[in-house]
Amino acid sequence: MQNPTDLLILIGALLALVFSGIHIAVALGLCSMLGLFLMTGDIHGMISFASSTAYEALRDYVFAVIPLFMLMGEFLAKCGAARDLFTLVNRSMNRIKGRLGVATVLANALFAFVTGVSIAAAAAFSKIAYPEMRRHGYERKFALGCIAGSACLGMLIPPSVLMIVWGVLTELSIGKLFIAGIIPGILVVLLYVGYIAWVAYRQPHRVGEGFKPQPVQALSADGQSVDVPEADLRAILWSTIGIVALIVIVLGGIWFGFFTPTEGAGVGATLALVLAISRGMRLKEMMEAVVSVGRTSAPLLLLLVTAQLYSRVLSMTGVTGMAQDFFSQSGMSPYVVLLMMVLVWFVLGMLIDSISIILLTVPVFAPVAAAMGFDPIAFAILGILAIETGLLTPPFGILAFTVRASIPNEPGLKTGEIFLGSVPYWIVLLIAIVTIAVFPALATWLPNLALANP
Amino acid sequence: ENIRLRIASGHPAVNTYVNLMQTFFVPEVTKRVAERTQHKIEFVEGYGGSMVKTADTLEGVQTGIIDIGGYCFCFEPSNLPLHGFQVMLPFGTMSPERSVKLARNVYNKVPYMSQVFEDKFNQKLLGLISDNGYNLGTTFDWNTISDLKGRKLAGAGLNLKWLEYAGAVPVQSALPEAYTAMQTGVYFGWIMFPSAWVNFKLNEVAKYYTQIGFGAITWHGLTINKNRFNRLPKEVQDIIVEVGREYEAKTGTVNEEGYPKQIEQLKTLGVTVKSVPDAVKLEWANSLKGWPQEKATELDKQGLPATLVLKTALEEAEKLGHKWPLRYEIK
Amino acid sequence: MEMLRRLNDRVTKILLVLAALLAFLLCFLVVADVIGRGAFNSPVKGTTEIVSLSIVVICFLQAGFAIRSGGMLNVDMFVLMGSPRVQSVMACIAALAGLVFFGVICYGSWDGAMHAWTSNEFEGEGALRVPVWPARFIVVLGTFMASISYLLMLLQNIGLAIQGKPPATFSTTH
Ligand code: NA
Ligand code: NA
Repeated sequence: MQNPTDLLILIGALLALVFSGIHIAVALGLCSMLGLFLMTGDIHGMISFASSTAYEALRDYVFAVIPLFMLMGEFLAKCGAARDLFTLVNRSMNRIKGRLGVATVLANALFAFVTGVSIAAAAAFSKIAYPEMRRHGYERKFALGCIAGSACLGMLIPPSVLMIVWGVLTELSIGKLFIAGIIPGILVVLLYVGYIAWVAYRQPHRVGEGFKPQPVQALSADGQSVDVPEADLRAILWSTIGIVALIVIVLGGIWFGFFTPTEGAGVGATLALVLAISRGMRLKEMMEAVVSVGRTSAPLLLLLVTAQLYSRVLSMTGVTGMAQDFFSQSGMSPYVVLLMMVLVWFVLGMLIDSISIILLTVPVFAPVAAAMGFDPIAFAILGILAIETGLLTPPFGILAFTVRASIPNEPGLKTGEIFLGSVPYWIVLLIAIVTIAVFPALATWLPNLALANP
Repeated sequence: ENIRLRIASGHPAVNTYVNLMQTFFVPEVTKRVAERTQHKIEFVEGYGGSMVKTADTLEGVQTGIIDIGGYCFCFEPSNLPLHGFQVMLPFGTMSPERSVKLARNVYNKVPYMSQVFEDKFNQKLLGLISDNGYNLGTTFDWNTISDLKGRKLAGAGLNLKWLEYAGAVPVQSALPEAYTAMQTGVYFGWIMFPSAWVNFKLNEVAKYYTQIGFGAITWHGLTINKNRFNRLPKEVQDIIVEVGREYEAKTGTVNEEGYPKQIEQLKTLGVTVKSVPDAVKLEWANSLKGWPQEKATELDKQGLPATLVLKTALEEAEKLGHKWPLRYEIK
Repeated sequence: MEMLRRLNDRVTKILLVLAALLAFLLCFLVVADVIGRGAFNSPVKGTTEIVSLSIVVICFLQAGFAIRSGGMLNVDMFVLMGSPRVQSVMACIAALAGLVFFGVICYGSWDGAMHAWTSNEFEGEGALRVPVWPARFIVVLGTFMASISYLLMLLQNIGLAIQGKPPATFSTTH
């Protein structure tokens, strides 16, 4: 056994600080400092390391996707193009109830093929889909849950940073992992759509049935000022084509060979700007969009900094060694071990960010799982699903907070409401986890088929 | 006494040197301390960046946040600019065993090389770490240097110069990005050793591996925080130093043994592995002819014994039986 | 006091706008790199290094504003159960915690920034060397502004706690 006291102090102190209302980023940072001091007994070393992490944590090309994809979403939102997309979907799927919810899920699924992280999707769709759903009379909790829940697709559907990190740590083929994520991703999409259809059928008032859409002018929540008469279908159609083209370019560019996700985000933002200007966006609105991205990205980036610091300190307590001893000495049945692992992921998912969870747990879990006879690819997909659930669970469900932070002007909106709205999506992820555990072929079939004969 | 030491690396245990930290250094020190002393040592291990990232491992050891760290000097271009000296002499020995011996001889003859860790960074160098031999893997077939002209090829840090001189377009990158970057055409090749080609599955996206033989480079090190080291009981210190040196030699032998196996593995994975005629090597070395002198002058100006180190390295390589395709001249 | 607060708001807002503009400019840098590489076989040298460093700059330039504007995320479900005075006291504690954390980081970042400046530390090699001191000093500046923002929050809420009033909530509609 390593030293469990350090670990208990670290987790206990964090929960105490967070529940006393201290800003989460600050709580994570202070607890990390406490942990560093407990372990080294050296104040100078503690300060120096915490400070250097502050500088190092974000110094990575991949983090630029966050503000860049936010910019893309903001530009699209500001010029009203997104609203047109949803209006069009609303009309073309005239007989489907809950179509905006379905459209949000499908658009997220599409968006997921472009981004490797979920945060950007949550931020963008909070800007794009939320005002639309509200304008069409969707229940607030339902709309918020739909956005947070479907943003999870970002890290499940390839490309995904989680899959890349997992592949590197476990020596699994990244290409295989990417392909393995496709069927489970589609499964989750279908289950999401199924849930929305069920709500639309059983509780139609929650999806705005019988509600007369407010005129666009009444919509001030997001500060959108560009007025497109709803009757002007032609313009709507053109702007929709523009958006689809943008997604195809960004998606195709990443998928077929021109750029990395970060570059895709930069290209997407620039094209969105061009699209927005062609749709009449003025300099003033452009500045508003740019500043608004600044406002929403800062708290998230700060949270990422201290979450990484905390995860480093957590791993210094030797939590990894403890877990390995525990699993290998327990003599439990494979499914019980799997259940334990999923539970650990749930708990960690409530506390720290997904990449850190992978860094902390996978080097321990993957060998144990392999020894117990689980297919490593199926285990990876299952693990990513389980870690994804943490994005939706309190107290630190980062997606719920992202949605909250991206809708700054909604009166009386509490993060708790978003968590509640996300519960059905969380359950869907749970169903998907069980399904993969029972039918691992859902994850392994496609990669084996595709990469058997290179 | 019950001693706890935190040992970490920013690289995952996929990398040979980290794997050896995990499977040799840690268990060996633990075992010998238990056998030969009254003390008990417990390691807390953190690899793959879970405790420190590649770029702040030196600082982590310096501040004592971790006790022992393994890292590449390539991530310290400002702090340890001279420690990548073998990169400045391309087409050196392809034998990791000789590479690490060569480096050790240079460190012995130029005290600055080891001393700088203790004087400036509050740590003690336990062992040098050799990499496998560097070659060029690509997504396309090539035969002459002119085939590489204008092609986007990736490297990390100092070895980008090799590409620049050959007329390729150098792209700075990191290994974890290599797979997608080559799949999507961000660049079309990597200066890399065969183990990484296998471990990072690059064989799936880049099917050509050319044994051009840039050389096996020793530019990683395993260090321990000086204060922590000084507080350890004498007999534990001795064991750590002893295992550190064995670890150093092992990075050479394990990489040496691994190389042919990994080349075989690449072949079975469907990669076209080939060698190039000496003329190609010579042509490339010729294009880089002036660079060692350029680096020596540049680093001498910073007050570092660069000329001495490069000269010694050239001689030591020859003493170990290496024949330079082109004898670089350092004045 | 009020003047100090307004000055702080002003400065944090300016830094926010600078950071936002930097993010905006990154778009064009990235696009130029993609086009340069794809069409002309000459990527913009140092793009990776500049983007990586910029993201640090963007984060810390915005820190002060994120705090002042109430953008920092927290869990307030238990705090809201207390009386107005208790809430204000808890707000003081939260502000003090923030002050301590960012103050320590600010203090601890100074040496690194000075070292980067005096030793001309850089990022990248070969293709382009990007100096790191601007990013290092912006961590110092950003955490300093964050500390000041928390300090002002603390002072304001101490007053409210004494008066038994609920804590000041900062509107996010600046
Ligand atoms: Na994705
Ligand atoms: Na969470």
